[in-house]
Amino acid sequence: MNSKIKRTMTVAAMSAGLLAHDALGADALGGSIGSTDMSYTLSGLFRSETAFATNGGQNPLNQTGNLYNGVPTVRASPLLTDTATRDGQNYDQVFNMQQFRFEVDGSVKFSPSFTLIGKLRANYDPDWYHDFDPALSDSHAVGELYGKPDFFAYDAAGLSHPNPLEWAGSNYMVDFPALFLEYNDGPVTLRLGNQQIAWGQAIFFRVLDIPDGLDFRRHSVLDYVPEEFSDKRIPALALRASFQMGQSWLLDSFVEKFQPTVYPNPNTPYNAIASQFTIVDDYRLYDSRLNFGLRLKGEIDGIGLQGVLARRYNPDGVYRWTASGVNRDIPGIPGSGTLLAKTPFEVDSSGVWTSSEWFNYAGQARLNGVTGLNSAVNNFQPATGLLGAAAVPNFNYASAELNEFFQLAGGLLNGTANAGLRGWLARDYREETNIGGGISKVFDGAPGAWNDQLIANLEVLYTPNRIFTAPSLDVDFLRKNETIAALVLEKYQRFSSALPATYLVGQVLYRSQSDIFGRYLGGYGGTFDQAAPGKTNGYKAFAFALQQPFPNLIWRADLAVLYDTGGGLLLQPAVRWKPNGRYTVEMFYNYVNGKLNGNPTDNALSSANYVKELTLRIGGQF
Amino acid sequence: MPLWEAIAQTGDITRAYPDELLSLEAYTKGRIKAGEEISAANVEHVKDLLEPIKYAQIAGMGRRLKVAKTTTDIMRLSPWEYLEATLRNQGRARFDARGNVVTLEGRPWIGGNPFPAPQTALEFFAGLTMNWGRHDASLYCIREYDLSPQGDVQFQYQSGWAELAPTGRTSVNPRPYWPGHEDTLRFQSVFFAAPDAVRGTSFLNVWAYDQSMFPKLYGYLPAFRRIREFPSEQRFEPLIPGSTLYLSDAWAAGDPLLTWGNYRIVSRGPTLAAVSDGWNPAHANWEHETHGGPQGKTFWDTTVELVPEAVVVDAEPVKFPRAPIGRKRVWFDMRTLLPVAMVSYDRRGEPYRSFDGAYALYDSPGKSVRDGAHPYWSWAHVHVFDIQSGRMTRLEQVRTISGGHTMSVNDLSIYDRYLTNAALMRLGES
Repeated sequence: MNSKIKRTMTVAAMSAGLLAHDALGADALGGSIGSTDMSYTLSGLFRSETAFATNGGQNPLNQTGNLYNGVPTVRASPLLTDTATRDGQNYDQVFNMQQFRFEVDGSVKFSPSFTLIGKLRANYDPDWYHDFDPALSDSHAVGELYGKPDFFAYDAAGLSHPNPLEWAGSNYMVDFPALFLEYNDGPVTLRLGNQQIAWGQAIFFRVLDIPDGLDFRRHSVLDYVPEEFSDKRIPALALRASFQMGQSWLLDSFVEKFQPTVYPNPNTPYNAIASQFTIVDDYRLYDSRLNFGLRLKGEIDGIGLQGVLARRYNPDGVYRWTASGVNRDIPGIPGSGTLLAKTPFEVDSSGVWTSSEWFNYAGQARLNGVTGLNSAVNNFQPATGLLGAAAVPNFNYASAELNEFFQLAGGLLNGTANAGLRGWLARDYREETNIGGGISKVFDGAPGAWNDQLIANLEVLYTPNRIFTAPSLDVDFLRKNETIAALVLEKYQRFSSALPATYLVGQVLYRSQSDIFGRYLGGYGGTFDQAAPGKTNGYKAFAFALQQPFPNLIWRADLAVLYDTGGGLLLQPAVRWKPNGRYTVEMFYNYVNGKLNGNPTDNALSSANYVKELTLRIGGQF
Repeated sequence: MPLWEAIAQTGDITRAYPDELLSLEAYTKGRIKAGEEISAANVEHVKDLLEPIKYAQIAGMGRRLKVAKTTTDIMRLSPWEYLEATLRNQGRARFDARGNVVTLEGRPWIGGNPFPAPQTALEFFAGLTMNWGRHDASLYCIREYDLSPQGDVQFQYQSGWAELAPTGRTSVNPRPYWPGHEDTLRFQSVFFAAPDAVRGTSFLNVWAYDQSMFPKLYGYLPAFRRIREFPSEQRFEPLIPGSTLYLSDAWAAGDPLLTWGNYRIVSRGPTLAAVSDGWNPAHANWEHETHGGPQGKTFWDTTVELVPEAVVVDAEPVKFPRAPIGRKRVWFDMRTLLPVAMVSYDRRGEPYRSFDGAYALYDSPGKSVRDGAHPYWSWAHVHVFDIQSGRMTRLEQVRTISGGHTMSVNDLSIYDRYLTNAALMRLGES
């Protein structure tokens, strides 16, 4: 039997088995321990999560989806003009994702004031994908993550547990999204331990939601939209203190161990960084740093107000070229590896083979291929100069010089063209101050009118001197003031007496310097034949979501739409079936189109343009 | 003797009604006595005493009702302090120009039922809407069971429901007002403690004293992991899967008084209602037994007694133009002005849903729950039945639920524990 069919049948069988499993009860366990003041709860979830790729699922950022695999590409250089055909492993995928999830939630209430709260999360990925096999491409890329795919490990050099309460291997991860002790005395609440903190009224547009980074492993940000980032926020060891001041005002504060955003690993289904590049994550230098935040939220005369002040490390991080340290000769030039090790390059078949590929992927990463080359040359003198590299004035010179080096790396002197250059980047973190505020109002109108009980909310965050990755990947990062704002309109509207009310949300996002993923707009617009001209007038996106419950909420339909004014669209229609207290089935389709409006690198969503997938989640509670 | 004159003089209703309205045996001419059961076999004898959905349940779905003697001691039918305040403050209430109940001096109401001898339909609902649980602060611990038309328990939930009155207080200090909160009628929250899929979901309603305004609604949804403000005018929606209960159903008066209208008195006469014996002290957690329906799980075991005088009042959801309900009909016990049954009708006028509760004084030989100086009075269990779909939601008040939440009354710490934004955040747990 075809292995794809076998796997699909296995998923179906496991899902059916789960549905038929009578041992899974719906009621949480719980009870008292000794005295009546002490009690505990225990409950959990088992879930199969499957994303079927409906278009082959080739992620161009992976080796198995590289746009240049098998495509003859002309390389013109001062040495010669030749044609290189990248020796990649182009594979269609049946699944974009298959994971099994197990969660246990529990709490122990020691007294009316003290409660221990915990959540254990375990994910297993059976790796039912057509993976990149480095041996088939004769790849010897250095770095733990650049051989066979590793689905969960967060590789921060020098740290065995970047997140102290997470244990991850190539196919599994186990962590505690929550494990904290809570103390409550009247209006005062303290929480000490590993926890997630979320702020702000805007959904999905993270304006004031600044305390935590995100975890893009598992299902990236393509999960079930109604869950927002509940499974994505990176938990951190923290002390959170909140104080309720009368009915109207709440003061919330935290000090937490800084934890960065974690991206999917190279050659895993939702990888977001081109796999021709090696990332050296310097988080170990920031492992002991702290974030601080303060939020005041309340109401005056029916107007909701909130203010936020935080001093934190931006969890997204910033990237720059870094020396590879890989001493591997350019074929036919003995000893060149010593110099190459002092540059941000490594000779390997999994690298970049042509200048066309270089510029194409620079555009995809929202970087500038010309200034990127110049930074790599200028930041690593004299090694780059001794290898014959020089800064260039424009695209054509850059293309020629790049092709020359790719030809040499591919074995020109030995008469071959079977490798390229991997680029090496370091990821650093920079501190910043966030100042934010929000205002909201609930409008009254005629009964049933569109403006009746309409909630309008405006949130603004200002970050002076925010540090961005330079489109050139220069070691000197960019420093810009950034303003991020979101306007949110929310409304329940009944369209008929036969159906429960529909929940509607409309949002507008504006970011002055970066896109929805935090990438600097100066790197926008690059293509295979053009260095990035940058994007002016800021980043704008619109979101619309609706939720339509059906009577008794056994069924619920959802629709989420994200439109990037640069020409990107994310659509997620979804349906949830909750036949009883034990089981929940969710099915949703992710459709991403990043090519609605000319150049795909003018919008943020083209980075996930390959995503056309049907996700099925079948879960049981116990 | 007028009812409230009898109550004021003796605390007993006996002098206000003839014997045939104080005994079901007398009313049915001996056909059904206290201690016996009403079932399909004899329900025709009391058909006129039952609202139509309850009658249909007995006649066709296997529901049975145990009959008790009529309670004549008024102090066993409501909280002591609430009744005292009702007597003390008689004649001191009026409607202001906006339609809100105020004192003769124009101040917020000072406690007890403002209209103990109501003359208009609006007065019936005004007293009910202004004070649901008749205590100044309450935490009800609730187990909910949602049943399919086939009688299977498809969903079970454990939840807490908290109420606190900043005005019209009768028991706790400061009273009758909590200074600084005279513009607020009620703080009320509902939170879910189990199962895992809904644990942490919580909503806080802050009711303005002005009954033309919708409450402020704050919600903590585990998916969002933070408190957000939500629109509150849609009150006919299921909060959780499987449930037939709407926010609008609470105490048969779940919406601000002036968002409903066309209040009118339909009729008056005796009825059968569960106003006593609803507490089950035999179970450590006060849980109740069930019977009837396809699987024997559809109905709570319920004790009813003859209520000598009930007034039937209709109201229409005038500020909810596309509500699934065209009108609701509520039966008020004239002795207490408590709602003893509610039937709502869809837009076509067909019977749609019923809200059918049981009350109790939590006091039995050897066991008693106190609300302070007196035995605790409260609701004990509720049926919410959709006769069109056959789905049933049963709720019962229990002593404790998952997470260590325990029933509490007239305890002002309920405010900090359950009725603030910080409380919602805490209830959200992880």
